[in-house]
Amino acid sequence: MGAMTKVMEKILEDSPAGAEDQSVAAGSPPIAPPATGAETETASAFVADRSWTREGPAPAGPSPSTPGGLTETAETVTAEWDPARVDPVVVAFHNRYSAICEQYRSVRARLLAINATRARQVIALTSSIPEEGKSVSTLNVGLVMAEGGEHRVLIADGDFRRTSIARMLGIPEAPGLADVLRGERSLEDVLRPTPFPNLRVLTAGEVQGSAYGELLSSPATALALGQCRALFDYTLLDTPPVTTVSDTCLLAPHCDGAIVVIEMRRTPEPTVQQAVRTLQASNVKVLGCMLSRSRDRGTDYYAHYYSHYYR
Amino acid sequence: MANQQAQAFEDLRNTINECTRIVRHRWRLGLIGLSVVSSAAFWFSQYLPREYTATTLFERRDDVVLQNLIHANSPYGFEHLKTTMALDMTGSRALAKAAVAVGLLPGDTFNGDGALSDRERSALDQVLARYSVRSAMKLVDSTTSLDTISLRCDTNDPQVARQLVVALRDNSMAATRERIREILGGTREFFVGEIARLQKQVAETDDTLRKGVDDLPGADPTDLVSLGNRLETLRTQRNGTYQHKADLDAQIAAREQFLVAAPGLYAVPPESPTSAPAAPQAVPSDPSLERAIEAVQAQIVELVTLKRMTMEHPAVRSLLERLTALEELRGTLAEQTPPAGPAAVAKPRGAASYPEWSMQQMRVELELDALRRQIAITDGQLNEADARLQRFETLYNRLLNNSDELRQLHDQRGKGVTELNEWQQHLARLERVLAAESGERGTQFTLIEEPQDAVRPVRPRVASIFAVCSGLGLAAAALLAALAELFDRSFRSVGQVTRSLGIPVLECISVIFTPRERRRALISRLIWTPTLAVLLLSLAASAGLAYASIELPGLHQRALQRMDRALSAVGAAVVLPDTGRAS
Repeated sequence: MGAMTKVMEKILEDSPAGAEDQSVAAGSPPIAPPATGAETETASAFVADRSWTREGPAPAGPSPSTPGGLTETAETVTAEWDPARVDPVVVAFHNRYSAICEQYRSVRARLLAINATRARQVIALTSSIPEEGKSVSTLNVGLVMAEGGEHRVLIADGDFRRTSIARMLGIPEAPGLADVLRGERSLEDVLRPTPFPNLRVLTAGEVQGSAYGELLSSPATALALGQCRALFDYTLLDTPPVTTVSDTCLLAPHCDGAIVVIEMRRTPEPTVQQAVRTLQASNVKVLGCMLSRSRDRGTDYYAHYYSHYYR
Repeated sequence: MANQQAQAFEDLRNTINECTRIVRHRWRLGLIGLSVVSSAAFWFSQYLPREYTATTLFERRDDVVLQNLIHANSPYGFEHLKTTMALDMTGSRALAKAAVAVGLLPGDTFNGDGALSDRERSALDQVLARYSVRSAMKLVDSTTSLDTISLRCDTNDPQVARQLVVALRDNSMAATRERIREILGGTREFFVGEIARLQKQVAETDDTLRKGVDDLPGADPTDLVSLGNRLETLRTQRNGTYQHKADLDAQIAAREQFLVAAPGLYAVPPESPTSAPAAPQAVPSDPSLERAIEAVQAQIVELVTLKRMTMEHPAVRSLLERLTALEELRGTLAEQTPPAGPAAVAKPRGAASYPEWSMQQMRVELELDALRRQIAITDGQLNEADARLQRFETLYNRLLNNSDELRQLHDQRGKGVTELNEWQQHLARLERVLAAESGERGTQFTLIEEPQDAVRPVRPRVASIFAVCSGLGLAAAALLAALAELFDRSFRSVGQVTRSLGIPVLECISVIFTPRERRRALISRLIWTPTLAVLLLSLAASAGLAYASIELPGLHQRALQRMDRALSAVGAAVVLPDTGRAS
């Protein structure tokens, strides 16, 4: 908690006045001005910030308690990301007007359409084999869902074996979800502010030893994910490949749905079929799939819509 | 129906889209297959055996007489010559002779004419197979007197092709001349035989017809009218002879009477010329008048006999009137002529004492002598004319009785003569043609196009090679792409994902071109671009070599030589294609 606070303080102190102009000039998404001089706890400040919620600004007075024991304050906490350290694949951060970003917005639209009741959801993003673009998709989808400030979004890294969220964003790995699952830290302690006030990042943290299975199968997992569901409208959980390790099968049942990321022209069809069957056998609702590294968008785009049209 | 059409259109569109997608995704693989296979095909096309052709074009102009020869369809005819021309020019025997002439086979390989023996055929087949010889004759244009002949020979060696076609042509010309001479010789013998037969037949007919009329030169035994006229002429001539004899008799009698009576007259004293009338005596007529009368009579006879005029014909009548006038004139002259000279009559002395009398007597006696000789001749003529007339009348009666038979004989003779004339004309022309042919001036051979050493082969053709090689390359490209698609188990389209997984596709995310991705693309491009460039260059080079091997043999030869030197320099052992011109 203390380390997290120090990091956030450092970030806030490093961000000069007029950072908004700089971020815009650098191609970064417009971010809310940081609360200068804010010394509150990061998670509390985030939870307290309700100005972007559908309910409007948070009322004055004591913050209502949340299921995770978090308290809401009226403060808004954001953090600057160094564009040089953020991986270029995070196109929703670097170039939010790109065509690819628009494709992620299309994913957002479909997710919103699927969630007609606007229920808070924890969505696992997984794949059948490694290196298919789960983390990239998780980051970009999370960023575009946080656009506009209508939804509280959490990007969580559930892949303890090959953590990548923190690396892509250029932020420290620890503390993270592993610390929460071990009970060493509370969830609010490990939530990282982002340039978006309604977006938080939960890194994987450091896993001591290789007890990934024990860690994920503990009751703390369900509790932590429940807290995420309570605090955020959408929690995007980056998970390991389904057919490679069984971690996803431990995490996914606690999620409201899963999105399978498939790399075009690489992932074998039987492997993906096996992954989908595995998820379905784990009683996970597969919301859909995202085809990454597609090189023929035009054709497939129309074919995609035609296929739905004829269905 | 509309739904079915829409579905069919949709299927077609999907198929096209799928093909387009495959082409877009597998173009590198396809290009590799196309380049490799097409390059190999182009390269190996240089090893294909080349086929060169040599063509000569010449005319054979036959003499006009040759077309009129009889038995045109017989082995001695020219139609048969034309019919067997192809076999004569390009048959096995002709090829064998040409091969020997060119030097492809030793001269003692073939003996005699006619069909080849098994040994000869085997030797010829070996040569033909070795050089892939094919020959063909084409009658480009053919009229009755002019044949335009195209002779072609295909081999795998241009020089052999040219030499063979020249040998075939020359042998054909010589054989044709020999054949024509044989034809003309055989025809001449036949003509001569026919003429001899016809001559004999006409002579026999002539003998039959002329039997009995040999002493009547010019008489046609079948022309009875002419013979009748001629008979009448003979009669007239005989009558004329009789008349002439009577005249002579009269003149002789008159002179004899004069000689008897004249001495008495000279012994009697002369009387007054007017007191005593002159004793009637034969008065010699004027010779010119007699000749005129005879001429008129001859004219009348000619008109009546030869020209077959009747007596009522104006010309005949005028001649008769003239004859009458002349005879009247002769009578008048005879009446006006004094019986004797007044001096002689007046002299009352004896005849012997008068020299005039002696002279007159001697003259009259000489005239008598001449007249007697004339009458002797006339008697002979008269006898001859009678005999001739009798024979003629006998002949005429005989011909008159056998007129039909004679007419048939005459017609037969006429036909024989006509046919004989035709045969003689044929023979004369044949002799002329034969003489011309012997001097090689009868059948004319005109060389229109001399064969050349072919620079470019006629087979294989550039278009065929390019079509086949390109087709093989495209087939290989399609096969590789199809195999890649078949064995590629990854997802390649949204429809495939939807069909396979049964879950919705939220979105297709394009490739994010990060610096790492660009670097990877650059590396890929750095690998692929030179590779594809090398493949395309090899394709272009092999295609260029294949093209040059056919269209530009010289350039191809130089390129191969340079390539050979380069390969030798690096120590590589590659069997370069033979250009097919080693011989």
